[in-house]
Amino acid sequence: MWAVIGCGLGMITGVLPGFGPAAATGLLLPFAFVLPPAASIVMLACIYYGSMYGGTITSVLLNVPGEASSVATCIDGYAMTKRGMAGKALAISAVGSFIAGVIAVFGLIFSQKIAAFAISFTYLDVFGFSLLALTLVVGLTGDSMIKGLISACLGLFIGMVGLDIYTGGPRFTMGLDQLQEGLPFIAIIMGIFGLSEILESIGGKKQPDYSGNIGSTLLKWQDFKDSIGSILRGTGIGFFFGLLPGSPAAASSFAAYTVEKRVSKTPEKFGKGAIQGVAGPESANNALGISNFIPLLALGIPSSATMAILLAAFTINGLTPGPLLFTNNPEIAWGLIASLALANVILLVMALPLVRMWVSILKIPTMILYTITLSFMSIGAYVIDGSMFSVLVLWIAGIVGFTLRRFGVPMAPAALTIVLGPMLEKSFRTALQVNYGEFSSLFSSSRANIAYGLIVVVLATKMISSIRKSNKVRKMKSSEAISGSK
Amino acid sequence: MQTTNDAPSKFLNGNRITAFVLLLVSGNLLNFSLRYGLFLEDGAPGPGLFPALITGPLVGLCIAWLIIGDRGVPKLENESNEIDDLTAEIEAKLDEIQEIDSDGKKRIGWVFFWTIIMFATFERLGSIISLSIYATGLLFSISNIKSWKAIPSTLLMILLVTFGAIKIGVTLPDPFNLFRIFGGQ
Repeated sequence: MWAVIGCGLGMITGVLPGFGPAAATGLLLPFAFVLPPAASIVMLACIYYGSMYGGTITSVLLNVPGEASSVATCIDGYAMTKRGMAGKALAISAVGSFIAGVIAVFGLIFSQKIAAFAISFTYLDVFGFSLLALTLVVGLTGDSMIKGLISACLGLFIGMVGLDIYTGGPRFTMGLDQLQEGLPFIAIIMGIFGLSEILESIGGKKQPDYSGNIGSTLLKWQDFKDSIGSILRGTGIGFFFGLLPGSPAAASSFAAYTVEKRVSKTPEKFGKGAIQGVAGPESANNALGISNFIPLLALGIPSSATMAILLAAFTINGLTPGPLLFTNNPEIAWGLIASLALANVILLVMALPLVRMWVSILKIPTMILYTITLSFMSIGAYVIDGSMFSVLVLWIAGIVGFTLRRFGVPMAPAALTIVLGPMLEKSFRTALQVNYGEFSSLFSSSRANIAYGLIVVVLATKMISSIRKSNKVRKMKSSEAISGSK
Repeated sequence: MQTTNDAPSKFLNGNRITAFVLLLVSGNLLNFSLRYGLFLEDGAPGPGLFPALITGPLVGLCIAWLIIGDRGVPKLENESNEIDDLTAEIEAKLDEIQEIDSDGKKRIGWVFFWTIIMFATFERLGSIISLSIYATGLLFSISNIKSWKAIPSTLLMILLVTFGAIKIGVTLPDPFNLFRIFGGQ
């Protein structure tokens, strides 16, 4: 039942223009407080999953991507809409996503094997790999590494407010009793993702409405034959990218799109409504959405902002994802995997016969949707601790997030580090505590040293790439200046 | 190939002001971190060590942002290519910092105004009355919706949310016992 509700809520929030899976999951995170642990985890996972398909609807019909990973779908999806084949585009997205999801869930089963290996991790190893995950945040910083790192540092700091885990003394509480338990990070995540997005949309230009007819959603056998190869290739690409923490979501869908264009016998059709241009990226997206769970379930390390939000849901329920989850709470781990398998079927049913119902949401004036969402957000924040303090934190976070986003500071790194920060501090201080403050002890584990080595590689790669890009730009500018003066 | 600088110049001062404010805040936080103590008497890490390791670099990053201002990494435009043009056009929708005109600022202003009203009334008047005022006020002020549509829409929304909240066991403020109408306590 909770899987059905989750998929439905995810579809509704995903259809909201500009709302991606992270914002949708963050918006509905307060459910984690009121539902039993298994139900809340299952529902939130299905909300995430459902919102991905909801985002496909806006990508195809309005050419408005919910997030970066939907951009590739917009290219041929919207072209199909302009040719009166919106229904077919949505249908192949649904079928491709279903097949990709079913295959990817089998891969998810192997997360138990990885967990079994990681069960022997010490605090040093946890610190090393958490630091690696933090470094991979560099992949979420976008064009400006400085602004991305500022966002990451702010997120880390938020996790430090409250009582110190070892001495019990207050830190950064400013004398407020409400801050002794720490800042309500759910309200913060709702604020920086959901509320800031809504404020930007309310202030910006009007989002397009959709009033057309999507046409038939029936696929011919030929459509399926044309797309099955794209679906299988996209599944493989998306699954692989989802295993890599910090890999930009857009990378897998664009990689799938590029591969399809290269292997196609009619590459000139791409960009003009090629069905493979929708099937490949959508399958990659869905497979990535499932394989994203593997680092979280097996190692306890979120690989994206949305996984960080789901990690928060685990934490709220007193659960710790990672190697011990399969041992201590097998019903949660396997229940989640089973629910994702079930969600594939649910979404196929919701997406195909009921697609017109979801599309009708787009006909509702967006300001009404935003009004409902703002009201719901305030209730959701109130539910966290039954006081207006969390609602106040929600709005402060929303205003800060809105302001920072206006100046190009991405919020995805902050969402990841808000959740990773306390884990990182705990493992760091424990590792030092048991070794009487000797920093050299941080290098005494071979697995941790491997993680540190990978950190150096990641940072060096990013810096070299930035320097090369800057040099290229400098050369271009000087050649433009020379040709201009001639 | 051509290069473009993607940041509009009107954000230049805004970037530096924001960077300066963040610098002041992070400097203050670094000061607190050092006061908490980096190490305990037995050499174990103190409560201020980890915050100092975060706020220290944050100060440096804010200084860097203050210096750089709005200068981002200029984007390279590839040779004209239909797919790349389409991609750039769509990606721009994600990356674009939307212009907020005077009407947009008014709408945001109204959102803040009604939110303050909600803060003042949520626990005093109860969630149903407070949200009714909030939602109706927003609908009138930020959308062009007509009253004969706005009010029933609002009430329907409030009823659904309240009913749903009661069903899943959420406790919302209700000083006038309006929830008993929906079968709540």
